[in-house]
Amino acid sequence: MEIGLHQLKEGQKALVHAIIESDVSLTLTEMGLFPGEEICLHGAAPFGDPLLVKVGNTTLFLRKEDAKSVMVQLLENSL
Amino acid sequence: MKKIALIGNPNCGKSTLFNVLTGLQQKTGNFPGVTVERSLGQFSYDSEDFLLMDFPGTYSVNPKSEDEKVVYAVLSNPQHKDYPDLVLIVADATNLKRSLFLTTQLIDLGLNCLLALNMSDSAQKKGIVTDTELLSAELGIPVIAISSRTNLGIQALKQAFKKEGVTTVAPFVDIAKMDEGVRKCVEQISGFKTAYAAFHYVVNVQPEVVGKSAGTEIKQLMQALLFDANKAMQQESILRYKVINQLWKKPFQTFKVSSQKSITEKADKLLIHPVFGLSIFLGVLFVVFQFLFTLSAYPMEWIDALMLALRGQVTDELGDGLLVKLFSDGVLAGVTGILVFIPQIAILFMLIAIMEESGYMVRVSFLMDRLMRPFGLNGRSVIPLMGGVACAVPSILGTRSISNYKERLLTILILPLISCSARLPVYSLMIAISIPQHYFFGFIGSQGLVLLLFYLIGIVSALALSFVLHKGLFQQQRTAFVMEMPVYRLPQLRSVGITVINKVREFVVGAGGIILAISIILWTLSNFGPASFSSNFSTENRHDYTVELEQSFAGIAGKKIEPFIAPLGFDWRIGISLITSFAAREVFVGTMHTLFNVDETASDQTLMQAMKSATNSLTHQPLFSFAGGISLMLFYAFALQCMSTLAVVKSETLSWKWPLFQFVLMGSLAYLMSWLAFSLLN
Repeated sequence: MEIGLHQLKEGQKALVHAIIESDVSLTLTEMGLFPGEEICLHGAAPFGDPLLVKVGNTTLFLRKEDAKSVMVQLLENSL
Repeated sequence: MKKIALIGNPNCGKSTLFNVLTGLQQKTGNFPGVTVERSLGQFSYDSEDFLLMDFPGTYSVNPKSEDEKVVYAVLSNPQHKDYPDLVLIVADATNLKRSLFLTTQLIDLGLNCLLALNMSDSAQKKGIVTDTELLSAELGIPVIAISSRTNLGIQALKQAFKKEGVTTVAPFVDIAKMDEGVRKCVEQISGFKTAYAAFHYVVNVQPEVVGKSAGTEIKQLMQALLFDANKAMQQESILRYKVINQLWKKPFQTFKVSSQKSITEKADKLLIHPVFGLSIFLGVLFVVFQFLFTLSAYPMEWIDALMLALRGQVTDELGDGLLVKLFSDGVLAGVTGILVFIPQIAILFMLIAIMEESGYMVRVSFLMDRLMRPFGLNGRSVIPLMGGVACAVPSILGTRSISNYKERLLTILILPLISCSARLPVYSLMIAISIPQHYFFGFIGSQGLVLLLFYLIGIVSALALSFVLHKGLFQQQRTAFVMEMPVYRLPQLRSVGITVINKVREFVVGAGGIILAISIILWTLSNFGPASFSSNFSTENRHDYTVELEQSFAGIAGKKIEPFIAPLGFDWRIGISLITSFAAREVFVGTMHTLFNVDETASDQTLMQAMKSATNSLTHQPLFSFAGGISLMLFYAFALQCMSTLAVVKSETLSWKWPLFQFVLMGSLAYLMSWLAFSLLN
């Protein structure tokens, strides 16, 4: 099932499937978010935004509205 | 002089290294034509001089944000006057892989590079060992393990600055492997050091760099070849990541696998927790406020007392002739006005530098982003805004930690609306005179409530203005806000010290001159009048040509503006005080003493009695009635009556445009609010 990165629940792992074309897609790619990478939602700031994610070895945070451009596929075993 | 560009990811310890290399030989300005801050530093080693240019922290050279555009404009153009002889790339040794993205981009651009692996000491402690020779061989550039904390490798680094580096490896991203359109387009243009540089030239065609006609030509070519710049850059980024992943299979670094959670992870469990993290940040804000408000009061009093004693000494020794008066009351008083800011500036910068260097500031951005975003502000704006309750001057300087220019400018523009400590004497006096004390529920006093209300007015109007400016004036392209969470580190005392000294010096040099000049002008205007220059000036008791405030130029101007301020319930006496308190708002109280002939040493009650019985010279109503008092307080809440703020905004934004904008906008708001309040309440 393909969902937006912002729809992941805390602790869930997923594979990046696609980045929706927008003003921010290049920035996201440069930070290591591109198809095939594994991503894990670590948590969120107060009021649920920005999101804290782990990609590879690094911990990043990004705004929910930017996370919407990151389409991911939930990994089965991470519920 | 050899020009070295200092480049690296945000939070890689770049500014600490800058401080270590250049010490106090630093100068801050802007990059030519843009508003991105640039620090220049000089140092010499082995009889050779070097110029170090600190660039904004960036993850990539692709020009998307204002900061990246600056990096790109300089590094992509060998004709640029800042084009470096050498690029010193700083990477965090504990996070090497991330910085390889930027590093390989810079190498591919054909720049002469040198990689410094910062924080190699803490990497070692964590069990990360880097094979710098292998890394150097693979990257084709010198790699040196350093630590700006312990000075490890700094000598070797300086030695390497003297050598000419050569890049011998094949490009990391082969343009030949990209889409046909990209390839063909790049083939069409020549004269670049590398194919990658040509690629960048094509995807980022900027008429201001290549000339309008060349720009159109390339754009036509791109259109013909169905070439999408954004997609090409994305494709390039993915290719680069793949290359780096391949490269990373080589044993550059060995890790001792530890099952323990790192200190950073443990600390972040608390420090960025939605509830605890926010509470801790509130605590941090409280500490900053206490330091700024309470602790700085002592050195400020010492400076005041010292300068007062010095002025007394000057008059004792030299008499009280005209020149002595000018020197003592004009110049020395102006110098005092500059020096009193230094404790607050030093304290604020010390705290900000500690938060920056420890990595906590990034967490502040994370925690506060959602709250500040609707107003177009950065999470980091919170600290200067809170500092504004003490004083706008150090806080405006403190906005330096906000790297996005638009967010920084917005913070600067709204800061003077926050109720600062100079408004407090005005509020206290006016509340005591105009607001009758009632108690609600037996303990909530109406006077205290009004004071609280005025603090709220400051905060609400600042955020409202930010919202309006954000929506109206500064609409710009959407940029992503993605940051890496850095590990926590102990801040380095020496680097913090260097930052504080440099900032204080910048303030004295940048804004000090303006503050001094304005204070001398104000002093002259309020001590001399037309009578000073008339031939029959009585020299019997006034051998220095000064006149009473009422007869001075400032006094006359105050009377002249009376018709203009009459709708606000003010008369000429308030007119005069509006002019004199341009020096600083609290001067209002001193001016009232003078105008009501109450000695400054007399009790507050005496002045209040005199003011309470004062009547408006136009309407013969009580001057400081409830309506008149509220109107006056509102004027002080909104008007930008502070020359030091104007001076510091000028020196921070490098133009008179923004301070004048602020002055006019806040002045109009003040007039409007006071008029509305007076009309409604009277």
